[in-house]
Amino acid sequence: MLKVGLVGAGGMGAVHAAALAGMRGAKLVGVVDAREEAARRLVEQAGVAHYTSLDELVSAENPNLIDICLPTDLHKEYAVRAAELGKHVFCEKPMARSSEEAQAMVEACRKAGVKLMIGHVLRFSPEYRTAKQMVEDGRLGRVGTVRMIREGAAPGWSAWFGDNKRSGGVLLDLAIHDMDWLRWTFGEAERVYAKLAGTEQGLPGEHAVVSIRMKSGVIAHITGSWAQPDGFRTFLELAGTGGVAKFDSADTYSIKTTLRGEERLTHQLESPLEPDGYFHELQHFIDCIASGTEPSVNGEDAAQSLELALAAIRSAETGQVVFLS
Amino acid sequence: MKIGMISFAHMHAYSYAHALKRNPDAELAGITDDDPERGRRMAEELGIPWFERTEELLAASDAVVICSENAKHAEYTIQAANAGKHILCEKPISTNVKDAEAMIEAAERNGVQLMIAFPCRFSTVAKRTKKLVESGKLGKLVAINGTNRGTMPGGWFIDRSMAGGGAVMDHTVHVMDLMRWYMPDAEVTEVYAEVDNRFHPDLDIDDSGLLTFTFDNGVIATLDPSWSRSKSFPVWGDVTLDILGTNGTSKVDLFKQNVLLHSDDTMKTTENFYGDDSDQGLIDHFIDCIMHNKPVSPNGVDGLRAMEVALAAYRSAELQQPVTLRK
Ligand SMILES: NC(=O)c1ccc[n+]([C@@H]2O[C@H](COP(=O)([O-])OP(=O)(O)OC[C@H]3O[C@@H](n4cnc5c(N)ncnc54)[C@H](O)[C@@H]3O)[C@@H](O)[C@H]2O)c1
Repeated sequence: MLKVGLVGAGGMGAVHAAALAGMRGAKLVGVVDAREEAARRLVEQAGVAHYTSLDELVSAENPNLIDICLPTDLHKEYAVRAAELGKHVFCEKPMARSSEEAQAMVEACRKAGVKLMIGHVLRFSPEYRTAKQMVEDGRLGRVGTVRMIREGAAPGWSAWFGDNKRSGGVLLDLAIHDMDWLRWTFGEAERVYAKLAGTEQGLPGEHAVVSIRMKSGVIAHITGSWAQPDGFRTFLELAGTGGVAKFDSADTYSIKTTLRGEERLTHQLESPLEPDGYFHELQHFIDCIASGTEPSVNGEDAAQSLELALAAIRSAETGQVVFLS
Repeated sequence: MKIGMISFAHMHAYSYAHALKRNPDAELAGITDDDPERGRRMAEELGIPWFERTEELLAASDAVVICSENAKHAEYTIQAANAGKHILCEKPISTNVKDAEAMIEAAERNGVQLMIAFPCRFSTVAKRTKKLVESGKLGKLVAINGTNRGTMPGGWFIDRSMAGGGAVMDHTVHVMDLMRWYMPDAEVTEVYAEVDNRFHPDLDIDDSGLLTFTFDNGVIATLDPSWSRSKSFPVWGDVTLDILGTNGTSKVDLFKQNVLLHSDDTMKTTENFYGDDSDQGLIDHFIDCIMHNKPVSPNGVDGLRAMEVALAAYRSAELQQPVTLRK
């Protein structure tokens, strides 16, 4: 049984703790969070202890791996420290805030001989896996164009998302999901051109459009938005010489509930998956550690997705096309 | 109003002819076509006169509808203008800026109206969206993502000398025109584009692309004009706009109003449109404007501005750099 130490008990920390609760071969042993009440909520559910620092958690529980669910600008510091302490590292996406930080993480894990995996969850989400499989099976013929959308209201649960220095904004935080899936499915990108609007334009959050030309020739369009009035939607459309495939999260709600309330109706939309992508990605990493195999989305791989997102940001800032080396 | 039809090279001519038949103020004066066989057949089918020569048709008409190959728009338009006839010309206005400017100039000089056939402006859905934008409910517009995907049309559409370009030429202008219509004071200043023939590698013309562009009011926009709909796709294509304002969003699909049919006969699923017919609105507007001497909209300049963006897209793709249109 592998012991997992969780750092960061916010939104994603809670998701990971829930996934770990049902996982074979692993168990949560301790939680670290700067906000005691956040950590307390999770440890009470899981029946484990909370700690005030990573070092303290490690010396008390001696976990096999550290799961990092901290704000993006803290990933590097904690990943490097976990590696130094000889722990395998699972870290939420985006890998880091800069290429240098990502390299430092890869380097530290390599030196310590521990595994590093980044939580690019789309690679483990059934809808995106199904779509990739269709491409691989040739059911679309040769894919010509790809259209991806990831849009919703600005993340309201934590202020750090709105601080570009910490989160990297919508391109680094949100659109990177789609960029990673593109790379995973079609190989590396050749060039990227992006436009960004945000609070300066009067929007509630950032809104980005990205044009990506893959080395394979695929033309991809990504919308990443934190400027929608509400909700959250993902969309994928692949057009090929042999067919068109589409997935729209807005069309896949398998349970639509409407309840009469005191003042107004409440609506609830659900598309449940048990287990979901978050479970699968963690299970994959646990299995990799147990069997000594390399995880899908290792540090080097995720660093390339980070490069693509950073290139898109550079393009949006400079107005120039950015060619990837 | 006697309306002459010049060429049935573009399939929209059928729909316009039928819309003209339904317009109580219009009378189909006849057809001329440089493909005489096609022209005669259509004249017979519609029960209207056939004219061997364009001059004869012009003499019998107050106005003309031109549905020739794109490259011939200029020649026919200028000839009709010089004969003092009003013109409704299929999109794109032409295949190059010089021709388009000459068309606009000829119409002005002869005091006739030149309208470009952008039927989307007459779609009930698009008109409702314009009202919404004008109401200010969405706040200030910030971004628009458009699509106008379709099916590879074949024929002269894939002949560069006749069409002036492939999918990017064919499918940039409709949505471009809608965007300009929604933002009457704004023009595109910069265009970046990917252009290729991903779907028909053996074609010598583009069938896929992605345009990213900026308006002088700061609005950022993208547009997918690809002929990317497969044979199995339930409908010919689409026209969609995803509009983002400071106060909200509007996701618009001009052909969403359809009945889905799963057919054992064809073993295919099809979307069967039941929305309003925008070609009728287009024709009715043209007739109304020339009868009552009101300015047509969209006019030749609108046609030119939309085509300029398509031409800039080709330049950008060639250079692999964004292209500046005007300061
Ligand atoms: N894979 C996905 O779908 C997905 C979704 C959302 C977020 N994320 C990523 O997950 C990461 C975390 O995001 P989140 O939504 O959970 O954020 P969050 O703000 O909800 O949680 C972060 C937690 O870290 C704690 N924290 C902050 N600084 C700390 C420190 N120095 N030491 C200890 N604890 C500290 C905060 O108190 C908070 O509880 C980010 O990198 C984000 O990009 C991924």
